[in-house]
Amino acid sequence: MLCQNCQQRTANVHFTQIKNNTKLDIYLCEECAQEMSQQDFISPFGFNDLISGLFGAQLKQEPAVKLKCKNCGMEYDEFLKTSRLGCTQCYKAFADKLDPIVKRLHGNGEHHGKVPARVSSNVNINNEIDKLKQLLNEAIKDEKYEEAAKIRDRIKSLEVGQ
Amino acid sequence: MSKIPAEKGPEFDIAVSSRVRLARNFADIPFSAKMNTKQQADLIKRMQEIMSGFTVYGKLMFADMSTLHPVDRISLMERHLISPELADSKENSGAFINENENISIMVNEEDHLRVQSIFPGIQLEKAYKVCDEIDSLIAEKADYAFDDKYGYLTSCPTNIGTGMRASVMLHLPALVMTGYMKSILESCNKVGVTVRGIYGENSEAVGDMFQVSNQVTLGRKEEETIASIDGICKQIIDREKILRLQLYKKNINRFEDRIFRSYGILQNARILSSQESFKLLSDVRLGVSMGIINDIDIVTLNEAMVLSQPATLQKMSGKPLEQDERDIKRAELIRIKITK
Repeated sequence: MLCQNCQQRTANVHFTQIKNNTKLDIYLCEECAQEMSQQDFISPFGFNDLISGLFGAQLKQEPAVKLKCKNCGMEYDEFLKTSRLGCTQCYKAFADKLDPIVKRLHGNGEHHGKVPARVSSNVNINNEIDKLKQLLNEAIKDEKYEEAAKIRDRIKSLEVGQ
Repeated sequence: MSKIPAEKGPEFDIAVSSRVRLARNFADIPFSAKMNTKQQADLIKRMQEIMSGFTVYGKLMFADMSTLHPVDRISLMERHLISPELADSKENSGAFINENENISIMVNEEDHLRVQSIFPGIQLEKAYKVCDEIDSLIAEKADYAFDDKYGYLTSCPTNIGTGMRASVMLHLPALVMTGYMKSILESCNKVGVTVRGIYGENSEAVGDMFQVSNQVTLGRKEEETIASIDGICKQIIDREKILRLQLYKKNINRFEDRIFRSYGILQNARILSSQESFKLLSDVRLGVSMGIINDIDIVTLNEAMVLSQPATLQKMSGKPLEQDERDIKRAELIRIKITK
């Protein structure tokens, strides 16, 4: 594809902007992109716009349904524009839409890092239980029933302790 | 004057500073986008109570954005103590900053809190340790927004998980001169590492200064992220060192000529734009770090770089300045600084 500005060089910089629910794609060559950013031309396509471009990439094929967080009143469309959620409950209210976004941003991982002191005991136990359940399944699959029984007892004791 | 460049850290001639920040929100109040003024004011009060007894790293003073002069705010931003977003905000936000200016806790930014620590040279582990300590102290006194799967919940999903951004500022003139910087940018992108200009988001590289930081915050432990950024930076530093020597050996006269010319201009110029001064300071910094210039210290150059920035410059002059006046003042301050 040729650069939309100079129409001469190959376009290798791609900008996406979502405005009023329409997606705007701009393809530029590196030289033009650099020149325009110096002239502040590209400043409206700041980091947030690029991020919301990423969030909004799934907008096209889906019908517009007004999703709203009951806790804080944040609308999903508003989040797409600002890339800011309104409260912790938004993560649950928009879970179906946010999960694929999170995968695109961070891959398939779940949190493995620090846990705040006040919730840590429960979360740590839950993590431990999850791990043991996985081991249990593997043990059953490998027909190691004695080991499986031990793991099952360990899970039970952890669940009772909670 | 910022205390940040006043001491040297490991690899200080290439690694200017290491910074770690944690994005944190409390569970009982909405995120910044949906907070009302009372909730914002209450949050500041809550943080003042929590931080009042914390003096391990010196007393933390609250820089209130609603009372601070715009020039002071931008100056804090230029010294990387607050974000551009916070410098722009007007009411009910601010930052707790210690006397050494290596700790800053921003309140009512994009997230309720941004706990940040900055050290000279490449010292990410140390910066993380300080953030971790402050973060644990806050967590003892109030409940954070936290989820088993997504970790620390943040206003923007780009920060969930650890909420941690670890970044190192690197001076890479040889990689820029030889054009290798482009391939570094590309390969860093592939492994989830961002490289950008010194002011962070939306900024071009100024004075061959680049900020290397992690992109991904979910699925990796804090220590793993710190280790990978640390490792990547050390590799970049090694490559920069090799290229510096190659460039020097290829044409010693031309190399020294460029550096001494830049030094000469800085010592004698009467008008300097910020762009020009950054370029010249970058050359001189390269010369000092390679032992070509011996009568000036890297720390002095770091200081000259900080005070060349528009707001810090005006703060030093004690009054707002027009651009022409700034360029004259900048030339004067740099001249005094480096010919002392």
